[in-house]
Amino acid sequence: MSNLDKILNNKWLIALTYFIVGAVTLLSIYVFIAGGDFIAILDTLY
Amino acid sequence: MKAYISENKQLVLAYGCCLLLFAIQFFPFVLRHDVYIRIHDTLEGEWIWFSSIVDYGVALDTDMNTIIPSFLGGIPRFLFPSGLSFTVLFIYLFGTIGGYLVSSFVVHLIGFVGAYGLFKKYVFTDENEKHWAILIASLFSIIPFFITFGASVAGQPLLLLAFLNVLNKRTNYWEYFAIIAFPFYANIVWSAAFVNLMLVGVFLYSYQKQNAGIRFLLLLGIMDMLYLAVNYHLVYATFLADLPLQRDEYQLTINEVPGFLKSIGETFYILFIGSFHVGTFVTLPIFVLGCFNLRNKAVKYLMILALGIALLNGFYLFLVPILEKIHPLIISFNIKRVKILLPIIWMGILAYSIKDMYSFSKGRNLSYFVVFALIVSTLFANDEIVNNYRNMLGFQRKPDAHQFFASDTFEQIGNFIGREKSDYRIAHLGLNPTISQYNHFLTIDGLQAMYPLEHKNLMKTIMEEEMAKDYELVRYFDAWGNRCYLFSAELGKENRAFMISKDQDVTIQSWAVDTRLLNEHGVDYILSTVVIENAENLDLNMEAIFKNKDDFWKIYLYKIESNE
Repeated sequence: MSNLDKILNNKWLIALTYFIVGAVTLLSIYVFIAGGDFIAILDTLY
Repeated sequence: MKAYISENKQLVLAYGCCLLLFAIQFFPFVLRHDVYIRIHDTLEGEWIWFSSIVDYGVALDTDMNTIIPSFLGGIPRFLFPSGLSFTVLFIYLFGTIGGYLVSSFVVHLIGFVGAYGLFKKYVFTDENEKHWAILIASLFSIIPFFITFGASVAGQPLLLLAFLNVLNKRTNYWEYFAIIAFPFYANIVWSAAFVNLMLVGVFLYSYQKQNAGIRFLLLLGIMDMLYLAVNYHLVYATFLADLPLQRDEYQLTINEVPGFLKSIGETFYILFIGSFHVGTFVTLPIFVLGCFNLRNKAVKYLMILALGIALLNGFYLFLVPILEKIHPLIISFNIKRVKILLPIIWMGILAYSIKDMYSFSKGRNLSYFVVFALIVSTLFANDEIVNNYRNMLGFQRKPDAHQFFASDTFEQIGNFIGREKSDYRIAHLGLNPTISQYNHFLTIDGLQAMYPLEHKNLMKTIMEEEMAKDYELVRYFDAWGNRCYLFSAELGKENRAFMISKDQDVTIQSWAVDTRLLNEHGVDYILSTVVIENAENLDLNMEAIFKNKDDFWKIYLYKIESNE
C-alpha cells in the first residue's frame, strides 16, 4: 500500500480535510452575505 | 478504471465550468457605467499614473525634462511608468475605465490559456485527464490579479510553457511572440528578476539539453533586454538621473518594528492568503493536498519553495539591516517581491497532487471537492467580483468608479472656481488626491512610487506641527512617504482617512498645517471631505459645499485667503 493510499484510507484525516476545506468555503460565502471583505477580515487576524 | 461519468461529459462539464466562471466574472463589466474597480493602489494611484501619461500626451515622450504638472507640484515624466505597454495601449484605445476592463479581461484570458496549455502539455498528459487542466486553468484565471501589473502573474504559465517548449524543441512560433511580448505587459520591478529566477531554475534543472539550452538562454537574454528597453524611464531614474528621490530615504525598519510573533503571522498570511499585489486566494486546501503528496518530488520541491517564500516575507524585516549593509539598492529592490511566483507554485502543487490522487477513487472525490471549494472561495474572495454583484443586487458597500471619480462634481468645482486649472493648485484632506488628478486639476499631494525628495521635505515642513501631535504619522511619513498626503492627527494614517464618504459627517477640531507655505507653492484651495473647525485660524474660508446624489463624496471647498 503506497503512502498516498494509506492517507486516503485514513477516515479521520479525510474527514478533517473535508471539514477544513468546507469551512473555508462556507466562511467566504458568509462574509460575502454579511457584507464584509473576506481577505480584509483575514488580514486582521494576525 | 471505473469512471463516474464519461470522458466526453467530463470535458463538456469542465468547459462549461470555465465559461460560467468567465461569465460570472465579466458580466458586471457589461454594465460599464456602474462598474466597481479596486480602489486600493489602483484607482487611488497606479492606474491613474498610466491614464495621466495618456491624457497629457507624454506616453511615448523621450525627453527627460518633460514635467507632468498635475502630480505633487509637477514631477518629471521619467518618474512615471513606461508608455510602451499593452496597459497604456488599452487606456489609449478605451479610456481610463474601459481600458481597465479590457485589460482585466485580457489578463484573465492569458491566465487561462497559459495555465491550460502548461498543465495539459506537462502534467495532465493523458487524454482522460484533460478536464483537470481546464478546471485548474479556470481556477487560476479567477484569481484577483493586480491588473495594474498587467500579465506579471497571469502570464507566468504561458511564459513558462513557451520556454519549456523551447527547451524541449517543441516550438510552434507563438512561443517567440509570447516571450517577446511579455516585457510589454509586465511590471519590471515586480516580475523581471523573479521570472528570470524561475526560468534559470528550469534551465539548470534541464541543463543536459545543450542545443535547446543555447536558444533558451538567447531568448531569455532578449526578453531581459526588452524589459530594460521598455522601461528606459525607470532605468534613467534609477541609474542616470541626478535627482534625489524619496525612496533614497526609505527606513523600513522604523515604520515596522520586527517581531517574532508578527513575523510568524505574516508568514502564515502570505502562505495561505498571498498578497493583493500578486493575487489573493485561500491556499490552505492546496497546502493540505500538497502535504498528502510529499512523496512526489515535484510537489515536495514546490512546497519547500512556497514555504521559503512565505518565510522570507514573514521575516524580511530581520534581514533588512543585513541587506542594507550589503547595498542600499537591495532595500529599494525589495526581494520579498519573490512572492509574485506563489500563484504558479500553488497551481503546480495542486496539479501534481491531483494527478497523483486521481488514480484512487477516494482521492478522486477529494480532488473534485477541493477544486470546487477553491473556485467558490476564490470567487468570493475577489473584491471586484464581490462588490460588483453587491452593487447589482442593491447592497452597495464601496463606490463604483464613477462615484469615486465624481467627474460631474469636479466639473462643477472647476466652474465655481472659474479660473484656468493651470493657474492654481489644490491640496486634499479626507479624500484621495488622485480624484483631482484624474479630473485634470493640479495638485500638491498624491500617491507616487517615485518623486523628488525635495518635495517630501517641503510637505514635511508644511505638516510639521500637525505630525508632531502623533508620532505614528511622523514614523509613517518619514520611513516611507509614498503617500505624500496632507495628514490629520485626528483622522490618522489609515486608508479610511482618505475615503470619508458623504454619509459620515466628520468634523476635525484642530488642524495645524502651514497654509501660508502651501499658498507660496501655488496652492489656493483645499478640497476636504471633513469640516475643519479651526479653518479661520488657518486663513481658510469655506467657499462652497458640493454634494451630488450619485457621488460618494461631500466636498467642502476651502480657499486659502492670501495676504496679498
